[in-house]
Amino acid sequence: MKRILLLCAVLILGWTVANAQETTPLSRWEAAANAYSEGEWQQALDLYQALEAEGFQSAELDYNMANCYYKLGGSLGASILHYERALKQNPRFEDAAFNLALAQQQTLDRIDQIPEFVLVKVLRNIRQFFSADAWARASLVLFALGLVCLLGLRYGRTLRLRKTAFVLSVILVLFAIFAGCFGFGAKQAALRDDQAVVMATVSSVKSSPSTSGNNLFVLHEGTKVGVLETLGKWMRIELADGRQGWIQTQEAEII
Amino acid sequence: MHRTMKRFMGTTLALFLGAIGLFAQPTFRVEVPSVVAVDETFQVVFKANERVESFEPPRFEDFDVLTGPVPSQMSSTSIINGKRTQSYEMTYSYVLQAQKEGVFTLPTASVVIDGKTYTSKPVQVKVVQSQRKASAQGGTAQQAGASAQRSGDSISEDDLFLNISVNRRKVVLGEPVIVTIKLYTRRQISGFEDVRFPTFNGFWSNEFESPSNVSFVREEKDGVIYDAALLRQYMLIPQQTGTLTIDPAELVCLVPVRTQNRRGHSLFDDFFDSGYQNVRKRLSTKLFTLTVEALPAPEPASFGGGVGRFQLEANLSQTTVKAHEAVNLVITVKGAGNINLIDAPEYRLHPDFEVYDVKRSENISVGTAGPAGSRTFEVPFIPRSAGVYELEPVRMSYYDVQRKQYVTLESASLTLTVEAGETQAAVVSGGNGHQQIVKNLGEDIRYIVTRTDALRPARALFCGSLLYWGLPLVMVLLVLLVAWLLDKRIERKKDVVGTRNRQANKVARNRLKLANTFLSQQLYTAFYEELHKALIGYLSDKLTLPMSELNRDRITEVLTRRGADAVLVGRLMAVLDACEFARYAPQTDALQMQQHYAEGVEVLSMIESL
Repeated sequence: MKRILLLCAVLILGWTVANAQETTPLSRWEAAANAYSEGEWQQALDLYQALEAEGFQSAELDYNMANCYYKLGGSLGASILHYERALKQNPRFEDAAFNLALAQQQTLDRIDQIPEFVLVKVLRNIRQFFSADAWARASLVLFALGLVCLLGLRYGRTLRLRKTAFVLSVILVLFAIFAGCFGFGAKQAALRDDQAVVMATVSSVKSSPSTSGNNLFVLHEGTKVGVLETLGKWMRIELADGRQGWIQTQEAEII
Repeated sequence: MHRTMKRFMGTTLALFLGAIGLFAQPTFRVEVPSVVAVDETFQVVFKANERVESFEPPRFEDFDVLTGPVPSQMSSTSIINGKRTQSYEMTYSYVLQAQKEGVFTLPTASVVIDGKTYTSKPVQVKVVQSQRKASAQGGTAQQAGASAQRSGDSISEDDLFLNISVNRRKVVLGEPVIVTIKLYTRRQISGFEDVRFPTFNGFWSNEFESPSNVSFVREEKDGVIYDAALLRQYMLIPQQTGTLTIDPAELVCLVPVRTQNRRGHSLFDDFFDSGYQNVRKRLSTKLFTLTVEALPAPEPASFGGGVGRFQLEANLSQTTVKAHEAVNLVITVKGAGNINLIDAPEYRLHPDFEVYDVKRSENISVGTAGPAGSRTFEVPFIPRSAGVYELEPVRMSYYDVQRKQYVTLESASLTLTVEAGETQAAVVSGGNGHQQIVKNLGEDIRYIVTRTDALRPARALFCGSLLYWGLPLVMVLLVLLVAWLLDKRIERKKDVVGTRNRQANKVARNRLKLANTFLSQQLYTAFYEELHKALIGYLSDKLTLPMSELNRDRITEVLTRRGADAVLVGRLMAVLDACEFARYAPQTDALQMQQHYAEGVEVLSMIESL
C-alpha cells in the first residue's frame, strides 16, 4: 500500500515537473495554436498576450492575436489594430492584408480616400519589396562593390578597364544610396506612430481638445485615422479624406 | 324493347335516389339555449333532416314540460342556375320550464330513419337564479330586458356592456394570447355606430374571427342571462417584453326606448310614431394590461422563436435519385403555440447540392386555446454528383411554456442515394463540358501562423544602427589601406628597376670612363676588355637580365621588345663583336679604338633613351 502511495507521489511530482518544463515560450506558442484550432479563442489570445508581454514581437504574433480578436467577435477595433501592427512590421504580409480587408468590411465608417500620386505608390511598392534591414544590408553590399570598382579605376591595367570600373563604381554607389534611402524609408514606416485605430464603439470627434468642444463627426470602432499631435488626454486626428478633429486618447490606440 | 327501356328508367331512378341519399346524410340533433333562468320557459327542438319513421320522446325529469312534443315538417326544393337542392326537416318541439338552479343534462331522444336508430347528443343546460322574478315570464332575455325598461327608461351598465377577455394574463415573449371582444345585452338593439377596435401595439395580431352578421347567443354572466354576440376574436403574439396595455374597444349602440309623455295623442301619431325612440349609448371596454416576460437568457443556437409545444419531422421526397434530378427535403413542424411565426428550422445540405428557395405551406387553426396545426417547409434541391449522402439532422429549438425550458428537437438522419445520371442536356459540346466553376461557399479570415520561427524576441533594427554607419567607414578605410599598400608595392617595384637603371648608367659611365683612361694610355687589351664589361654590365642591369642569360639572342629579343630597331641592335652587336675580336687579335690602332669607344657611348645612350 505504502509503495503504491509512494509511486503515486513520484508520478504526480514527475508530472508537475514535466508541466513546469513545458512552459517554454515555444511550447506556449504551440499550445496557443492548438487552442485556436479547437476554437478556444480566448485561451489562445491569453497565451499570445503573455508571449507579447514577455518581449516577443513579430508580425506573425500580432497577426495571430488579431485573428483571435476577430474570432472572439465584439472586438473588431482590437482585431484591426493588430492586423495593422502586423502589416506595419511586414508590409508584404499577404494573409494579414487579406484578413484586414475582411475585418474592415465590418466597420461602419466609410471614408473616401484621396487618390495617391502614382510615383509615390510605385516607390512605396518598391520599398515594400524588402524589410528595412534587408535594404540596409543591400546598400552596404552595393557600397562595398562600388569601392572595389574604385580600386579598379585606380589600378586598372588598360584604359578600357579603368573606364568600365569608373562607370560601374558610380552606378553601384548611387544604387547603394538608393537602397539606403529605401531602408530608412522602410524603417520610418515601421516605427511611425502617427496612425491610430478607433477602439471605442462610438466616438465623437470634437472641434477642440475638451469635452465642451463642438461635435464635428462621429467615428466608429475600427476606423483608421492619422494622428497629428497629442495634447494631454486628447489627440488631434486627421481622416483619410482630410477632415480633422480632436479625439480622446483612450478612445483610439496608436498602431 | 319496351321492357328494357322501363328497366333502364328504373335503374336510373334508383341511382338518382341513391345519389340523393348519399348526399344528404341523415342527422338528428337538438337545439336548446345553454343558459336559462329558474321558472323561465324555453323551447327545445329536436331536428331531423330525413323522413322519420318513429320518434321516441325524451323523458324530462328536471324540467316541467309545458307543451310538446309538437311535430312539424318542412320541405323545400330550390333550383338555382339549373342546380336542384332539396331540403327536408322534421322537428319536434317542446316548451319547458326549469324548476331549480344547477347544471342539468337534457335527456336524449331517438328517431328511426330508414330503419336505423339515431340518438341525439346529451346537452347540458345551466339553470341560474332568476334576477327578476317578475320578468322571468319573458321567453328571451330581450323580453326580460324589455320589461325592465318599462319600469324606467335609463339604460344601466348591467343591461348593456362591451366585454374584452383574454385567455392568459401573464405570458412569455412569443406566447399566443386569444383576445375576445363580446357585446352583452339584455335589451333590444337596433343598430351600431362608430365601431372602433383596439390596435395592438407591441403585438403581432391576427383577427381570426370577425363575423359579418352579429348573432346573439344566450349566455350567462355573473348569474345573469344576457344575449351575447361575439364581435371580434384576435390572436396576439407579444413582440416585446414588459407590461403591455391594450386599448379599449368602443362602439355606439342604438337602443330603442319607449317615448313617454306623449302629448297630442292622435291617431296619426299612433300610426307614424311607433312609440319608441333610438337612444345612442356609447360603450367601451376597460383598459387592461398584459404582462409579457422575456425568455430565459441562454437561448440555444437553433432557437427560432418558437413558443409552445412542437414536434419536428423531416423527410425526403425520394431517397434514391439520379444526379441532376430534383429532390425535396420536407420539414414539418406540428404543434400548438405561435406556429404561424415559426420559420424554417436550420437545415444544412451538402454544399454540392444546388438548393432553391423554401416553399412554405401551413394548416393552422385558431381555437380558444390558441393556434395549433402544422407548417410545412419544402426545400427543393438538386444533387449534382453521384454518391451516398448522409444528410445532417434538422434541429429546431423551442421554448416549452409548460415546462418553462428550452427543448431541442432533432429529426432522424436521412440518407440520400444519388445514382449517376445522364449527362446534362445543356452541356455544350467541348472537352470540359462537365467542369463547373468552383463556388465560394463562405468567407472567413485566413488561419493563424504556426511556424515556430515566427516567434522572435523584439530586436533593434540594423538599419540606421551604429554598425550600419560604421561598416561603410570601415570599408572606406579598408580600401584606402589597400590602395596605399598597392601604391607602395608598385612604387617599390618601380624603384628597384629605376635604381638599377640609374646605376646601369652610372656603372656604364664609370666603366666607360675607365675604358677612356685605358684609351688615353693606349692600353689596347685592357681598353677592349673594359668596354665589353661596361656594355654587358649595363645591359644586364638595364634589361634586368642575369649574367647567365646574356647571350646575343636573348639581348636581341629583349631589346626588340623594348622597342629598339634592328640598326641599333646591329650597332650594339658590332661593338660587342669588335670588343670580343680585339681581345683575341691584338691590334694597336688608336683611331679604331677611338671609333669603338665613341660607338659604344652612342649605343649606350641610345638604349638608355629607349
